[in-house]
Formats: sequence, C-alpha cells, structure tokens
Amino acid sequence: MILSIINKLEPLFAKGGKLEKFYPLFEGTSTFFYTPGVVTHNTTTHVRDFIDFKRMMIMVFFAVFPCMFWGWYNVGNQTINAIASSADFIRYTSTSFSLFSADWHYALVQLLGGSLAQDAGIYSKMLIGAIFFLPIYAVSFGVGAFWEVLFCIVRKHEVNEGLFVTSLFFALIVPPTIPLWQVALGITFGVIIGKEVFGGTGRNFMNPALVGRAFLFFAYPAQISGDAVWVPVDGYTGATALSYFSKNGNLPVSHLDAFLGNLPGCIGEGSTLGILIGGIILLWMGVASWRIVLGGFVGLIAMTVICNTFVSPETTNLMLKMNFYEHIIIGGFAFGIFFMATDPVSSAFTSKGKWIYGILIGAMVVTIRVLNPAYPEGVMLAILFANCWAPLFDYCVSQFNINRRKRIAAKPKFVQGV
Amino acid sequence: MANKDSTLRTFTVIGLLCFVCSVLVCLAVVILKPFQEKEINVDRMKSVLEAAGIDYSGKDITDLFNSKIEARLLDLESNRFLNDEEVKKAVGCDDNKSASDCAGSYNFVSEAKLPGHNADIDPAKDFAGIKTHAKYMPVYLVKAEDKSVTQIVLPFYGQGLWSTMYGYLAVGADGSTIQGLKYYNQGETAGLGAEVTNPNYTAKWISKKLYDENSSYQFAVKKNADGNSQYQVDAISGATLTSDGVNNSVKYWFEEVYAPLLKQFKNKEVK
Amino acid sequence: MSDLPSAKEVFTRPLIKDNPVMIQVLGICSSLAVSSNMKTALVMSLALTFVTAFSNLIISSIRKYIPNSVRIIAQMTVIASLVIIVDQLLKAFSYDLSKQLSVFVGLIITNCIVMGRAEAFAMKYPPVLSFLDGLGNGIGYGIILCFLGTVRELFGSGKWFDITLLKTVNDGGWYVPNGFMLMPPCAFFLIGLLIWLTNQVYKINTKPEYDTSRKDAS
Repeated sequence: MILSIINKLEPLFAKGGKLEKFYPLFEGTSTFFYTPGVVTHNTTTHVRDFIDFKRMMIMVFFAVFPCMFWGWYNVGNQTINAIASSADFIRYTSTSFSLFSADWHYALVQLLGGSLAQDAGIYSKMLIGAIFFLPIYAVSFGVGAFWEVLFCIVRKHEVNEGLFVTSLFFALIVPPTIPLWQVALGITFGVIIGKEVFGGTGRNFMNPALVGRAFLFFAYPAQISGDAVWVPVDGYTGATALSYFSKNGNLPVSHLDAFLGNLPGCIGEGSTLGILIGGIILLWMGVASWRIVLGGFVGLIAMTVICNTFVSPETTNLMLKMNFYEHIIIGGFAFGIFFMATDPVSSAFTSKGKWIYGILIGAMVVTIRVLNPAYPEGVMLAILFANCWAPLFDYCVSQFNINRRKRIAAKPKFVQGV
Repeated sequence: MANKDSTLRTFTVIGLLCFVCSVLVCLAVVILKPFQEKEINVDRMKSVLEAAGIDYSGKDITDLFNSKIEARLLDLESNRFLNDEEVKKAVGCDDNKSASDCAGSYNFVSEAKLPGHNADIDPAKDFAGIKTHAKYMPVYLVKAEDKSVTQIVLPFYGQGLWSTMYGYLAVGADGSTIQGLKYYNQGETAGLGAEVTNPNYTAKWISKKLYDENSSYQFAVKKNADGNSQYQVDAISGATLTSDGVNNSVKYWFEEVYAPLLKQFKNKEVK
Repeated sequence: MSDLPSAKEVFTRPLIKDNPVMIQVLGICSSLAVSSNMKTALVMSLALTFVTAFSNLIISSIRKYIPNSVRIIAQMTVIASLVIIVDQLLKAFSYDLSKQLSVFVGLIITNCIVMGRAEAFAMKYPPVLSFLDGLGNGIGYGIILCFLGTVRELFGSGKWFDITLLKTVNDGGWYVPNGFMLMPPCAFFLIGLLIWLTNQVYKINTKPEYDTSRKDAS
C-alpha cells in the first residue's frame, strides 16, 4: 500500500515535477520503507562495503531498541522510587497536574492513565519513560531533519538514514530532564558542525551525535552533568554510579543491578544487558566491527589493570581502585563501544586500524574517568578523541602494507630455468 | 646602497636602533612606574573594601581606604603584629610610605616561594594545597569612628579545580561571623566555578559563623547544606570541585592560621 | 616604484576582502584568547592596531637603512619596543583590563599580523602607505575580534560591554548562559563559520582539491 502511494507520488518530485526541489525529502522517505531501485553509486560518500548504507543504518536503528525500552522502564522506575522517597510525595500522588505548566510530563502521565504512586505498575513506568523520552527524540529528529533536508536541497544530494540513527542515539545519550531547546541546539550543532560542514554523511570524521552532546556538555554543564539531572523529580539528586564511586569508593547498587541497568543515568546507557543484546546482533550481522568492540574491551581492561596495580594504598583518588568489570557495567562504556564507536563513517577502516582505534577508546575511557578530576565520565570524549585519530591509523596501516609489498617486490626473484 | 649590507653598517644600524628603542622603553617604564603602583594599590584596596562590604562607588578609593582601614603585618609564627619599623624592614619600603601602605604592599604570594622568607606547611594539614606560606600575612583592620576595630579582612588562598584562587574574607567583631567574601583572582570554569565571584553567591556566606562557642572550627561549604545551620554554606551548583577547593582553603587558613588571631579579636585584644 | 597602490585600496582591502584573520588566518591565538568579552576584545584590537600602524610607519621610514641580513631582528626590535610601551601604558592607566589581558598584550610581539605586515609591506612601500596598511590590518583584526566578542559575551554571559542584555538564571533572570561560548575553542568554531561565510560571498576556493566521484573520473 505504501509502495503504491510512493509510486503515485514519484512523478511529482522527479525532474521537472512540481515539487522537484523536495526530491531529497521524498527519496529519503521512500527508501526508508523500500530498498531503493538505485543502489549507492555515483556518489562521493561512503562506499566501502557490500551492504547498502541505508540497510545498515536501519539495522542499527532496530538494534538499540532493547536498551531504549529498558531506558524507558528505568526512567519510570527511578522516578517512582524518587517520588516515593521524596519529602513531598503527597504532592505528586494527589495533585492533578496541568498540561500547561512545568510539570506537563506528569500531567500527561495522569492523562494516559498512569500512576505516580509507589505501587505503580510496569505500564506506568514505561509510560513515564516514554513521555520523557519521546519529546526529546521528536525534537532531535525534527530539528536534525530540518538541517539535513536544508543542506540536501542546497547541495542537491539525497537525504539518508544516517539521521534516523544520529537523532535516536542523541536522544539516548542525554539525561531525561534535559530542556528541549537544548536538545534542539545540540542536534543542530551536531548535524551542522559535526557533519554538514565536512560535506555530509560519509565525509564527517566525528560522530555527529557525540559532537552534539559534547557541545551541550561544555555549553550547559549544569543541565547535562552533575547529580540532579538524572531523575526527573524536582530537587532529587541521584548521582550516577560513576560520580558516586568517585566519592565513596563503592557502587550505590549491586553488581547485578548495575548490569541490568537499575540505576540513574542517561536514558540509553543504563542496561548493559540490553546493549549486549542489540550489540551482539549487530556484531553477528557484521554491521558493527567486532575488532573495534574487542579492542575497546582490551584497552579498558589493560588500562584498569595498570591503574589497579600501581595505585598507592593511601591515594585519595578512589577511581583508581575501580575494577574493570565495574568500569564496563556502569556508565556509558557499553553503549559507546557497541553503538557509537562502531559508526562505520567515523571509525577506522583497516582491520589493524580498528584494533588500535578500539584499544585507544578503551584506554582513554579509563584514563579520563580515573585521572581527570572534573569529569566522572569519559566515554564521549574518548570516542571523539579516537575519531580524530582514526584517519591517521588507517594511513599508517596502509602505508605499512604498501611498503611491505614494495619490499617483497624488490627482493631478487629466483630466475626459473628455461 | 652597495655597502648597506657590510658588517660595519650592519652593526652600526642595529646598535643605533637598539639604543634608541631601549631608551624609549626605559623612559616609558620609569615614567609610568608610579602610576602603575598606584593602580595595583587601588585594585587591592577595592577588593578589600568589597570584602568589608564598604560601598566605594563614586569615591576616592585611596582616601576612603585610608580613613577606614589599617593594614598590618601578622607574624604567623608568633601571632603578633609587626610594629612600624619591622614592617618597613620586612617589606623594604622607603620612609615616605605609611606603615599601613607598606604592610598592604607585602607580596605574600611571591614571598611564599622565596626560601628564607617562607615556611613549609605540614602536608597533613595542607588542605589548601599550597605547600608553603609566607612568614607574614597582611591583615586589614576595619575601624569605626572611635578607632575601635569592628572587622578584620583576611587574605587567603588555595587550590580550586583548575587554578589557585585568591580571596579576602571579612570577619566581624565576635571573631567568628563572616561579613563578606571576595575572590579577586581565580581561573575556574566560567559560569560554574567562577560563580564564586558572583555577589549573589557570596551573599549566602554573610552572617555564617566560622567557629562555635568553644572556638573550634565548624564552618563548611557543602552540597545540600543544612539551611538552618549557621556553620554551613551551600556549594556552588554544578561546581563540586571548585566548592571543595573553597572549603579546603577556608579550612586551612581559618583553622590552622588565623584561629589564634581571631580568638584575640573576640577577646577585644586586637587594636 | 611606479605601481604604488592607491591609499584607499591599501586601507580598505584588509578590512574584509583580505582580512588578516579570515582570509590569511593570522593572529588566531590571541583572537581565541581575548574575545570572550567585548571590553578585552576592543582594547586588544586598539593595542594591536596601534602597534601595527606605528611599527609599519617606523620600519618603512628606516627601511632603506636596515641591512638585509638582520632585517627580521630589526623589525622585531621596533615591534617589541612598541608593545612594551603599550603594555606599560595599560598597566598604568587600566590595571583591571591589563590583568584580564594578561600575557596577550605582551604576545602581540609574536602576532603574525604585525610581523607579516612589516616584512611584506613596510619593507617595500613608503611610510604613509605603510601606516595606512598597518591601520587597515589592525582594524580588520579588530572587526573580527569585536564580532567574536559580541557573540561570545552576549550568549556566554548575557551581556555586552558588561551591560546586561539577557538576564541570566544565576542573577535571577531567564537566560541560561552558554558556557561553551566563554571557552577559547568556541572562537575557533566561530572563525571557521566566518571563513565559510566569506568564502561563499567572495566565491573563494569553492572547488575542492580533488573529487572522488566516479562521474568526474570517467
């Protein structure tokens, strides 16, 4: 049915049609539903694999669903718990909130039959999470699409699915309480500075979602880091596990809870289990590179072992004592290494380059987390840092191969007898 | 033109050029020196006045300062004020300067780094992370009309997140109540840690107390401070590490260094 | 010297079209550092304009006597002397500002714009033209600096010349200041965007060095 609509509309957008200018928009919509008739060719972008770029992005899109749904549940769960322990929980459970106030999230929950009481069920919790997450996603997608389409029209190239993934990732790596205008600003910066100024998808050397988040992180640190932003209840401070550890030297929750994702944090980063499910699907399908992921784990474990070995007993930096498995199950490492670092455009391309790239990310994550007093979390900066290095790794690897072959070719060959 | 590049010409021209330039530079430095010293002084006086909560807008800073405030040098070892001759000797002022001006121009930052002019801090007590302190510290006595001391403004400094932060704290006549805070030099994150200079933030410090009745140090800058406690001030939101730095420098200077002086002040022994 | 450029040309070219920061990409270090608010940006621009103009004037008037082998050192001496004088003046009459500008006034000595103009222009052209060229380049730098200063101060702290325009949340207003604007890397992005803009307007360098598309290769 969709196909027939698309076919009917096509002439309108084709060369000479009424809406010729908006062809990129049409193209983007139709290929999201159906494999395009024309497979990537004649473009200057990312052609290094047999899988069509569009298909690839759609698979990534679906692979984050487990951790996204867990994220919804978790935001709801944290909210309910926070309300239950808050001093004025009566206010939350007995007031009916107005849609046109700062508390419109709660009003919407009540409107849709959700409950804010302590005994709220899974439906309410999912609902709360969705009500906090979906507006963020909608804004990030809408604003991102606006810029994408604008550039596509000016530059006359096609919209591609990179944006679906970018905007979804972006929405998953921000705290649930982030103001929506900051979401708009962040994705704007990510799409324009992180991608379009370099010529669009395939030419960007950094992950646009992370560029956008980094911008917000430096521009509005009070709304995107600290202790008060992770749980959407006024005045409730729920430190992330990382900043809790850096002060107390242990985790606020059990290891199992941390692994399942039962703790405050960015929407998507919570559940290591959910990320593993999606991540392993991606690895199995060959969309994400296992070399990068494995390299990341190797780098992280190696660096943690170094920290743990050389730590002096009376150090005041408690982060030095954190185990490698704790580094993996808390914070954004799992999300970052499976979904963000493996972005095929901004990571390294050569096999050896991927290893080094992955190891660099893992090692940097620990370095920033442990040794930088200001930032409890280091995944975002580590990946951006490695993004910058990726082209150099590729260059070195390919030069190395070229030289090796030259050496082989230069060796005096055994002259076969006639 | 041909001999423009000869060795002799080269040396002559460059020699002349250097001579003219050095004369100009020296002249500028010598002529402008008194102006510069005055500016540095005025800058310091402004900070002290601000910490003391004295409005200086539209007034002659130097006159106002000299009429209300007297600077002394405190010997940190014996906890006594130096007399006028000792002050002049310690700072190296000439006789035209008043003892107060002279004490105020004592540079406790550079002195703290000079061997022989400084003292090491016990690492276990070095909360502020500054390792050494100068032998003396300038102390500003705010005086009322009848020459009684109503307030003491004390300089203190310590490590923040990125930088060493320098400030003045004004303490009231009971030797414990904070009457003003002014950070005059810091390099913390703009918009977060640097909010420590925002008057809206420093206003929260006023009328908090440093010590309890038994003169033991109680003051703390902390997150979610107890609003009813007279010893606690809220940390700067979003700047935990800067706030920790502030807390630690105040703790070092007012628990380890100035406590005896403020006790004397409480007992009305400071004149 | 029959082909002397016109005085007007010499003065106006560096303002936008051949702007030292945007087109020649010189003097970036200081424009990142001092443009977080208008006051320092303006004072820095004035200081640099003064130094460039007068160093050009002096160097140009003695250019016939400067031996070739040591000409850079000779230029350096003149520039350094001027910078020290400016620095001393600032310290004497505007201590507050000189504290904020810290090392950057002293670093005008190594600012590529000053050296560049002395070497490229003042050594070849007569004093008055050189003076105008220095003035133009200084003002060209100043325009960029003031633009950066305006954007950064307005969005970073809601003020312009310390006058509150957007009342910030910390002062009880509504504006959430953008902390990124106050960091030096932000100026980097802004300058990049400016370069993009001028390239579009003047159609400079629109062809990429190489094109990887198959269409062109065939």
